[in-house]
Amino acid sequence: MNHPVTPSSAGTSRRGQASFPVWRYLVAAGAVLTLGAVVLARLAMLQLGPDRRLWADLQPSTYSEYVYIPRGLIYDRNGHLLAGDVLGYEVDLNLALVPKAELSRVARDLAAVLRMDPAQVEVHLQEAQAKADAGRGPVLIRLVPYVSDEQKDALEQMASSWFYLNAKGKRVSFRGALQMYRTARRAHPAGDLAANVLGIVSEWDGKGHYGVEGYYEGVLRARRGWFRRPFAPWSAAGDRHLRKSPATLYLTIDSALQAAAEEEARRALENTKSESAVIIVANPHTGEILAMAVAPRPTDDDRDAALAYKAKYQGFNLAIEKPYEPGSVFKVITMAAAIDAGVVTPDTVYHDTGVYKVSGRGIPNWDRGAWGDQTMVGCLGYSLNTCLAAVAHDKLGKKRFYTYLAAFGFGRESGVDLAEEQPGGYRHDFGQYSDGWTDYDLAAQGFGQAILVNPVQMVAALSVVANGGYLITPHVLKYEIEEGRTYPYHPQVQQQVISAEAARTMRQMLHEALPMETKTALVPGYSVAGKTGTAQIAVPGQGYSWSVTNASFGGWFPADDPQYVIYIWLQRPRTSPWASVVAAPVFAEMVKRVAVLEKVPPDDVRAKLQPPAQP
Amino acid sequence: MGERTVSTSRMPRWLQGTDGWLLLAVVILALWGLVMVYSTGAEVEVLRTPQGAAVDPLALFRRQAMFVAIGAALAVLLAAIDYRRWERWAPLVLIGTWLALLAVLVLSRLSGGVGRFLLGGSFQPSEIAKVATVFYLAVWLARRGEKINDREYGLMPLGFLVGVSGGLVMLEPDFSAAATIVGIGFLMFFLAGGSLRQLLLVVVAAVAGGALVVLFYPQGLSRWSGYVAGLRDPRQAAYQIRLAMAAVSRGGLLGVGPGQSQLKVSGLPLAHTDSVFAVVAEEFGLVGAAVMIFLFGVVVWRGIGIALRAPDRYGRLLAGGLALWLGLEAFANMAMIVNVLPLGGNTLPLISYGGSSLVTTLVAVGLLQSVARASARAQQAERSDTGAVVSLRGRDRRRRVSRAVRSASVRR
Repeated sequence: MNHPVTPSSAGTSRRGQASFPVWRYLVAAGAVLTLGAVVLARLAMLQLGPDRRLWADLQPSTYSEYVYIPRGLIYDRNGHLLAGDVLGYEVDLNLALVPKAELSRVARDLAAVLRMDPAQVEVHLQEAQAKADAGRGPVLIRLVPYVSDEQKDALEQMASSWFYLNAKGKRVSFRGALQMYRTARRAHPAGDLAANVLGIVSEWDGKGHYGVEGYYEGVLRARRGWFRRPFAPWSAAGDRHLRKSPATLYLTIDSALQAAAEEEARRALENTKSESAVIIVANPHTGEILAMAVAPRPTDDDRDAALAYKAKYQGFNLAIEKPYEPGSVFKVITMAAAIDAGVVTPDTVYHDTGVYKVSGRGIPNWDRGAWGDQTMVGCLGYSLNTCLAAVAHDKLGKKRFYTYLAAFGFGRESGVDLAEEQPGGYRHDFGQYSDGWTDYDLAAQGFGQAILVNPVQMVAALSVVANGGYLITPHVLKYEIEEGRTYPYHPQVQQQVISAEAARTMRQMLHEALPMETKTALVPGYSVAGKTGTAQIAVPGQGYSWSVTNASFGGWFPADDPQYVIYIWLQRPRTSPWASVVAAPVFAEMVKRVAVLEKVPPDDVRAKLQPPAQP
Repeated sequence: MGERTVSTSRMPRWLQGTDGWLLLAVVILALWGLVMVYSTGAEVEVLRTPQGAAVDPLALFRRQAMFVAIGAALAVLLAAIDYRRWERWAPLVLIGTWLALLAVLVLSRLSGGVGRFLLGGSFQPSEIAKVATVFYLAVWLARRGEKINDREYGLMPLGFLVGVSGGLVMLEPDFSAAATIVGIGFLMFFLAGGSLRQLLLVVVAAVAGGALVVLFYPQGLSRWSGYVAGLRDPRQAAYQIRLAMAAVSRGGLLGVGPGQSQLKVSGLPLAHTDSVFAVVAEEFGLVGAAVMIFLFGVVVWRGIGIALRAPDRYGRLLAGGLALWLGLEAFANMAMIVNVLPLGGNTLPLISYGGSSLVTTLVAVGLLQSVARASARAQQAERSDTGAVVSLRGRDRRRRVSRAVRSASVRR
C-alpha cells in the first residue's frame, strides 16, 4: 500500500525508518478538505441559491428598555415657549426588599436627602408596609413623583451603603429596593402667563388637566414605560412604533397681548374691587383667541394650589368654566335676531312706559325710568330692558327667539379646545329645561337675564355680528406639529346665523348707540362698537339685587372693519355696579393695548391706506 | 506531491526552511480574526457592561490583539527551536494538561457550576489539551513504530490516553472539545499506520459513544433533533443555527461590508466566538467565505506537505496531526454554522475571539514551522554529504567557489 515512487518516501526509507504510508496523509487531508468543499457548496446554496429567500420573515430578537419621551411643548403663536419639560426622576421603594427592622433607618436616610420630615416619612412607610402586608396596598410604592438629577445621584450614593445582616449574619445589600425612573416636571419659562389657558400637568399621574394640557392630553402626553425593542441599533423601522413623539402645539395666544390682557385684568380687579375679572381678545373672522386673561390667576402648576383655586373661584378658567347671566350685553343677540328676522328695523319706534308687563310681572328699566318713544338704536343706546323684552316676546316670539339662540350657540359648548368648558343654559318652552318656563323667562332672556352663558360663547356670538353672520368655533390651537408634519387648525364655520346685511345693520346700530350712554368705552382715533351689560346677581334668599352685579362689555374694533372682538367680565365690582362705569373703561384700555401691540393704524391713517369698507 | 527543494537561496538565514505559504495564510487569517473581533466585540461589550457604566467598545479587540502578540511570539520561538528537543517533555506535557483539566473540574465543582476556565477566566485548558494530545500521540505513536497494530501495545493504551484526556474535558462538560480530542486520536492512529480493521473498530465505538452522548448528555438530544430538523427545513434548525444561516444568506455574493452585519446585533448568539463564521459570511459574502475556506485549505495543504517532508516519523505525525486538527476544527465549525454538522461548541481557529484557542493555534503553527525548518536542514545536510550541490552564495558555510560567470550578469 506504500507509495514507492514518492521521492520523500524513498528518502525516509533510506534513513532506515519504518515504511511511510503517504496515502494515509493524502486521504486524511482529502477528507478534511472535502468537508471544506461541502461547506463551500452549502454556503453557495444559502447565499446565492433558493435558500436565500427563507429568512424574509425572520423577526429579530428584542429586549426591554425603559423609555421616557418628554411631554409635548406648547408655544404661543409667535414661537415663545409657554410650557416644556424638565427631566428628573421618579423615586419608588420596593417594600418587599426592605426588612422591617430597617424601615426607620431607610426613612431617616431618604428624608435626609430629600429634605423631608423623617418622622413623617417613617409613618408614611409604616402605613404603606402595613397595607402591603394586609394585601390591601402595593409593595412598590411611589415615594416622590419627581427629584432632580442631582438628588437622584445623592439618593443612589446614600443607598449604596444600605446593608443589613440576614439570619446567617451575612451582609446583604438592599439598594435594589430603591427604584428610580426617568420622568419630568412641567416648566413654564413665561411663569404664570396664560396659566388659565395652559392648564396643569399633575406630577402624580403625569397627565394634563384643564386648559390646553387637559384638552390635548392625547397628543401631548409623555410616552413612558417598558418597551420591547429589537436588537437593531440602526433599524429605524424598529424605532418607529415607540419613538412616535408627542406633538408640539402652537397656540393662537399672543404672549404680548396675553400679558397686556392679564395686566389690564389685574388692574381692573384692583380698581373696581371685583371678585374676578376676565378679558378675552379674539379674531372674529377665524375664531382665534389671541388672549384669554383671568384675574386672579391660577398659580404655576401645582396640583393642590390649582384645586384650591378651582374651589374658591368655581372654576380653573373662569372664561369657560363659570357661566353667568350676562345682562344687557345680550341685547346685541336679541336685536341681531330681530333685525335678521325682519321684525324690526333700526328706525322701528318702541314706546317705553317704564315697565313691560308679562305673565303678571313687571319688567322695569335699569333706572326705573320711562324713556318714551325710542328707535331700536335708542333702545340699545340707553339699554332699555322693556324694549328688548318686547322685541323678544312680542316681535320675535318664542319659536323664532329660541331658534336664534340655538343658532348663536347658546345652551351648548362653544367647542373651544380647552378642557372642562361649562356651556351654561336657559329655560325654554319645550323639551329639556322647560319645567317652570313662563313668558316672563322669554322676556327676561331678551335682555340677558334668566340665561347662563360663558364668556367664550359670548365672544363667538358677538363675532357672528362682527364677521358678517357666521358662527365660527373659537379655538386656541393654531397648528400642531407631529412627527415632523404640520397640521394647521382650520377655522370651523358652524353655520350662518344671520345674513351679512343684518350683521352690517347691527354693527352700524351698535356703533351709533355706543356713544349715547357709554362714552367711557370710546378711544380717540379708533372707532369702536360694543354694548355694556350689567346683570343683577340672584342672591339666595333675597332675589336679584341691584348692588351685586356682573359687569360685562362686549365689542369690537375698528367699527367699520372688525378685526378684534374684546370681551370684558367683572364679577361683583364694588366701586360701582354699572358696567358703563367699571367694564367699559377696561374695554377702552384693551383697545389701546391691542392697537399698539398689533400695530392697528388709527382710523384716519387706515382710511388713507385702503378704500373705506362699508361698516 | 513531488520533490520540493526548500529554497535556501531566497530567504534570509533566520527564516531558512520556513514555509512561506503557511506563514502568509496564517498571518492573513490572524489579522482577519482581529477585524472580526473589532466588528463583533463592541456589541458584546455593550451587553455585558452594567447599565450606566461606560462601555469600552474596544476592550475585546485589545485583548485579542494582545493574544495575537503572545501567540506570535510563542510561534516564532517554537519555530526557531527544533521540535525534536521537546520529545522528552511529552509525558510531562500530558500530565500537566491532565492536572489542569482536573483543576478546572475541582474548582468548578467547588463553586458549584459549569466551568471551562482557569486563572480567572483567561485560560481554557481544554484548548491546550487538543494540541497537547497531538504532540503526545505523535511522540508516543512514533516510538511504538510498527507495533501499534498489536492491540495490547497500540489501540488499548492509545484508547486509554485519549480516553483520559477526552473524558476529563467531557466532564467539564465540553462535548465538542472531547469529540475533537477523540477525532485527533483516530486520525493520528490512522496516520501512524493503524490497521483498517482496528480503525473500523474505533469508528464503531465512536458512533456508539456518540449515540450514548446524544441520548444522555444534557442538550444532546435537542441538538441532534435540531440538526435533523434543520436538514429537512433550514427554518426549523436550532435558534443559533437559524440566525447564523440567516446571516449567511444576508451576505449574498459580496457581503454587506465589514462591520455592517445586522444579525450580530439582532440576536445571533456568540457572534464573536462560535458563530463568527456567520458574521464573516454576512459581512464578506460568499467570496469572502470562500477565501477564508481557501486559506484554511492552504494551512492543511502546507501542513501535510511539511509532514511528508519531515525528517522522522515523530515529525511526520506531529505535522500531520497538527495540520489535520487545524483543518478539522475550522471546517467543523463552519459546517455547524451552515447545519452540515450538528451544533457543537468549537471555535473557528484564529478568527473566533478567545485567547486560549488563539495562542494554542499559533503554537501549533510554530511547531509546524519547526518541522518544516528541520526538514530543510536535513535536506541540506544530505546535499552536503553527497557534495553534489554547492551554493554559490556561501550560505552552506563552506568555502566560496569562484563564480562561473561575471557577477553583473547574475545580478541582472
